[in-house]
Amino acid sequence: MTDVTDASLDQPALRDRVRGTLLRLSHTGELPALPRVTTAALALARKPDVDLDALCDVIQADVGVSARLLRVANSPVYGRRTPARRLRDVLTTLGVTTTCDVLVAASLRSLYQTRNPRAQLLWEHSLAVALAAEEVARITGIVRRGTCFLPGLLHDVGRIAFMLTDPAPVDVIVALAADEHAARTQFEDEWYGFDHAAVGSTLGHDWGLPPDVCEALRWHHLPEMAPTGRELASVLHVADRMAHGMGLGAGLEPPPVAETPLLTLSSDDYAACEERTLTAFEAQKGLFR
Amino acid sequence: MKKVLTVDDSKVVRTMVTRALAPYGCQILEAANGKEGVEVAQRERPDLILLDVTMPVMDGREALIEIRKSKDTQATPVIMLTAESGRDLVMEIAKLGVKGYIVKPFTAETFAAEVDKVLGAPSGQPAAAAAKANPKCVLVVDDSERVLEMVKTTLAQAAEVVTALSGTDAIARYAESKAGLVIVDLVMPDMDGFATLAKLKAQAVSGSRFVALSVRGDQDAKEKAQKAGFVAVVEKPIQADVLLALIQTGADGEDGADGFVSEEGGCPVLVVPDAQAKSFGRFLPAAQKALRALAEDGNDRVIVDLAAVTVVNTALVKCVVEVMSQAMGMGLRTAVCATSATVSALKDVAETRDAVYAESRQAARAAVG
Repeated sequence: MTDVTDASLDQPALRDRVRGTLLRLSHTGELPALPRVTTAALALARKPDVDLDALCDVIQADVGVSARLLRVANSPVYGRRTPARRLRDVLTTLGVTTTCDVLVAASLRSLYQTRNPRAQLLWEHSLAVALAAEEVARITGIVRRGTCFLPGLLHDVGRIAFMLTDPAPVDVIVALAADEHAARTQFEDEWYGFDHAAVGSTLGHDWGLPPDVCEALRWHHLPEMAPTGRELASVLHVADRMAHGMGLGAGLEPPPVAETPLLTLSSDDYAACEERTLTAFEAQKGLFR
Repeated sequence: MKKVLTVDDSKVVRTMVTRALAPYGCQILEAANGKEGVEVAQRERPDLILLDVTMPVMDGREALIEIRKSKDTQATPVIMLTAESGRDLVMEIAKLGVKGYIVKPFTAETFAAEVDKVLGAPSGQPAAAAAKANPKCVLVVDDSERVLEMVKTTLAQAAEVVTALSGTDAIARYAESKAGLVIVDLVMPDMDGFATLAKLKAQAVSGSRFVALSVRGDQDAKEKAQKAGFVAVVEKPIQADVLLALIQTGADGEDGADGFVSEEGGCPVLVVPDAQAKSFGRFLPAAQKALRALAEDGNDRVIVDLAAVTVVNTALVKCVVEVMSQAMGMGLRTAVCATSATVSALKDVAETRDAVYAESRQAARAAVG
């Protein structure tokens, strides 16, 4: 069995293996993808001087995505006094980062809308981790606020990729991990030759996400092994545990490792993060339909 | 009741094998390493052994040697299970006498393609051979009579057009017509385009292409349709020339998997087009479909024909590697036939060095047995 948790493994080689295996298993012959509009908007938004008009133009090219973005921006969560009618209004009030977060969330949602009930639970878990990661960032200051929502939302995207490719092994892996109180990642490794974290970082790379985000997706179960971006990986790790603790663990056992030595929160801070996450989750869970 | 022994150190793999064997209604025996496997095999005399290559205590190779040594098990059919990285090793082990091999992780289909060879198709299951689609027939599914009428009129000269007003209606029309091109509206009451596609695909007609009808500008629906397995999306209002082009594409075999498949002395041939300096982006998904269809039709070998190829570059190497790995993954023995210049160029590259090459289809036919 190849040990793919080995940090020295050549990243491009691992990504090739992930793509090759998933394509071979996939009935559609395709990997999960974000709409082109979303990846194009993310690329524009990352430029130092963001051109808001250009960003608007890119997003507007997709009527469906724009409509969803407007609907989300006009929800009570974002507290606008007058409803936004144009995309430009959304960008001005929410700012580029939040607009992109909402854009990715709205685009990503459709990947989770399968008949598999696990997918819905996984979506809720992902949203909870995104919100918890922001809270952990806010309270610890270990990474900049506003940069954790997206990685949090995507941290388990490898799992949805496994479900979309072939749901049968996912059922087997979940059942075995529960029976034997072992890590699902170990069983994923045994079956696929890599785990969901490797899939997440591969998809992140293919979707043009920044390298530190891809690394955080790759190492969110083992932040201390991350060659770069350990802080973000640690935040995701803590947020993941937190979501499990709040009963938003996608119906799964929590990962077996208790906490990462890189980031420890006082019990008061932990409780405060949990409370704020839960409030935000209740407000936002129905947002992305 | 037949007995099947699965030997693998991974419980996930043994569980997946057990699940995949469920339709065969056989008794399943498990062993976690080669040593245990040999013992169980001698005691229980299974009808089939599924043997992992890489295991602790005693690996698959040693276990196979032991199995072949014993009088009780020397004739027992063995199928090897290997990780993708272990293909080379499995080819070497195959010399010791195996029925085939399955690459892990596997789908139920690729697993069945190998296991059927030993156990036969599970009873109560339809035969693997799929009905052939009728390339001259087009089925249009839309809840608007106006759209149906428009398509019918436009294509009247070029094809035989069958219409259906709902997904349910389409299921029956498709079963009768086996249309080679099926155009499905994505938004319909009761059963939408995606659900309809799933039902139609379940009818196992090989060679049909499915095209979605969607409202102009709905990028999201387009992406979703492509993911679901529609080969193209046509926007409404429909343009006549777009419809006619779809028929033409089918006739040229540009997108259809069938267009690439030929035959040599009873052995299927996958013909790789000359993409020159370009990538094989359009060819590869179609090739994958074609290979899957071949495996599902019970084939165990394929010739990959590169005779048309004029430029050997990275794109071609990638294409050959991809096709070979797809074919092997589906349990198809493979030989590549190409001009001597192409063969020598491919042999210079590490990734393609070890393929089986021949300079004519006849020679390739002999090489795959």
